[in-house]
Amino acid sequence: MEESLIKALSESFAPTGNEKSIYPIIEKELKGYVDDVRIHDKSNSIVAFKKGSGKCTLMLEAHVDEVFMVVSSIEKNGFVKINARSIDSKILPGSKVIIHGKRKIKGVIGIKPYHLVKSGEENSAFSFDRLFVDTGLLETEVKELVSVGDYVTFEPQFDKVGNYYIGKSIDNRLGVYALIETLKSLKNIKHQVNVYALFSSQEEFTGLGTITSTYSIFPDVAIAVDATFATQYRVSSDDGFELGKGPVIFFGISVNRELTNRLASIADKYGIPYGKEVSVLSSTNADKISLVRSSIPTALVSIPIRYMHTPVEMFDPFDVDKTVQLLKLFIEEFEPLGDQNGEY
Amino acid sequence: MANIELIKALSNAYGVSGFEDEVIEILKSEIKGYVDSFEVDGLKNLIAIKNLDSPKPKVMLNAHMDEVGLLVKGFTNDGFVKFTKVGGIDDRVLLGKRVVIGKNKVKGIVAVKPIHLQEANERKTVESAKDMVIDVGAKSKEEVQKIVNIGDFVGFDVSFESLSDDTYIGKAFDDRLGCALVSEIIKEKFNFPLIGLFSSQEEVGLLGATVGAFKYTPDISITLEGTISADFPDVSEHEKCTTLGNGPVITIKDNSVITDHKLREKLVKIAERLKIPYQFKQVFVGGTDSSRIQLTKSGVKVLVVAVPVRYIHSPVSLFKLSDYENTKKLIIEFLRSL
Repeated sequence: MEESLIKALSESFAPTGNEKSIYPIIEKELKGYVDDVRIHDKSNSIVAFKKGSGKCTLMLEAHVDEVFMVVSSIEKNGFVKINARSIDSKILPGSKVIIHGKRKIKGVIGIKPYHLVKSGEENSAFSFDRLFVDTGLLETEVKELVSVGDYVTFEPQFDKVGNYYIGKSIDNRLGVYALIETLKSLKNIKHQVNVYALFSSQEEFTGLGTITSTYSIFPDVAIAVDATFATQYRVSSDDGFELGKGPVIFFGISVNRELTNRLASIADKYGIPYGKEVSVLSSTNADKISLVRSSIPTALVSIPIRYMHTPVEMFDPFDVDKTVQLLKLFIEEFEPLGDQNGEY
Repeated sequence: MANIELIKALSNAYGVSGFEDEVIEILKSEIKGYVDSFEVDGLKNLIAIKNLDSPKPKVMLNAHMDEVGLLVKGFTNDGFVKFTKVGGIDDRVLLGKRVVIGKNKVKGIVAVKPIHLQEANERKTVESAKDMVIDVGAKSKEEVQKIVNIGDFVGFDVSFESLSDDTYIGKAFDDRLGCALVSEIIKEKFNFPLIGLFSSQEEVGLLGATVGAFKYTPDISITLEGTISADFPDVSEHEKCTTLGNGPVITIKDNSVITDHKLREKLVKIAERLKIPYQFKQVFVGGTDSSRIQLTKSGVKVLVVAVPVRYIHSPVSLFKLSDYENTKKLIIEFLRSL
């Protein structure tokens, strides 16, 4: 695993709806490895293309956006109230955040000291309506720099912990990383299939990037790459997959079974370990890609992570490397499915 | 001018109660050459003395070196670390936080169940610290036991930094700000006997200070603290204690001590004469080493003066440098008036 690349991806900011600041990293990495990179204008996603020798097209997809908070009000003395859809307010007390105002402003989320905590109060969680960001700035300065609606993200700090790595936005920068490295790996191999890599916007909200860009790309088949739950404290193998046991292939209803079986058979053939995730819907972009036009056959590969949607999402680099290896081999040995889309 | 580099080094150092060694080393090298001698007693109090042969009344400056933290108490079968709290930490600042464990600073995080997998009732509650674990990225109990020991301290993994010109964030401002103040003030020239008591184990019951004033017992003792400021939303008006930026906090009474009325009046007069802003602590909570020093031998007259600090006992406590400067100035002027 290229630690510097995943670190750069993890530490960049791409809150849903404002993903563009991560695109230069992707463009720079892919330079010299692909035939085209362009922005999908209507959704502000980014699409790379690597030509194959045949006619069929495969789209790899990973969302680039990250979970985020927004400024909901500016209180007396400049304290900034925040809100969010899919971040657990329980992890926020005692943490640092970045407010993306007229400039990036660091702040802390504090709570009242223990001395003032009444008995029985300690184990009731803080909800967003009681939390606030303290920037250390005067109210007038805050009002000059910050507006209601400004994005607030976790403070980035990529780090190694034991056998694993931690950081913010690992969901889904691992997917972004896997797509970049897969495209790079194609440089010295012959492949028939034409490969699109869609780095999509707004997965954590509506899936705008994937729905509209997939329509434009109109691939014959697609593979989405996202994060899934790893086993951890309080998450058993009922809900999660062990770190270090390879990628996870989704065998649910919402994806194409034939494509899924092919992906799994490649893993079997080359001895790549993988887990099998079973559910009706995957609750990832794979479900959405499958519903574009008159349906794009889609499979889903996930990389297990612990502590999803926190600043300390944790992963095993082995699982990332195996995901890249699986995608590369799948492309190398790709054969068209029976029914094909596209004009060719 | 405040010695920011000293405050930074002290804040970043680990000194969970009973493990004050790193702080002791920083303070020793800081005050070396400015005091006549120093010694570390059996409870790890660091005691510095100066001008002890002067017949004048003896003055003690006191600050505690220890900080709140956690202590490793065991391991789960799947390789996670169990812990207990050391001092008053709210369970709610632990989830998802980065920590370091023991002398080798093994990195870890306090595990948290992803929001997606929490039941509705789980979302409204935070588990007790005793039910939490630290994940150090080990794959088994055998592996974690090779890098972490039962009894190791656990501290917050966070670095001192500035938010704005006057505002700084970091851990352990309670009471490394006091340690920095005592170090800076003890370097000044005074003609009376001066004792610096950098005490241990304050956060677990004022233990260091219970014995720390016995060998060199002062007539007057001033405890310097980083104290609660709760001047922010979610705290009702009558509980705000102190206000950031309003200058040194003078304690009349807290949960452990009533300070000496005459000395305090003198302190207030000096502040007013020199137009140094000051405030009284508004809520009778918290206890300080002064309460134990006060009970030493036939008694010691005590004062408590503090820098207001928001979010104490969390990884992101916050103070204003102006409050620190004003506290330093007030104490130096007070000492000169003795």
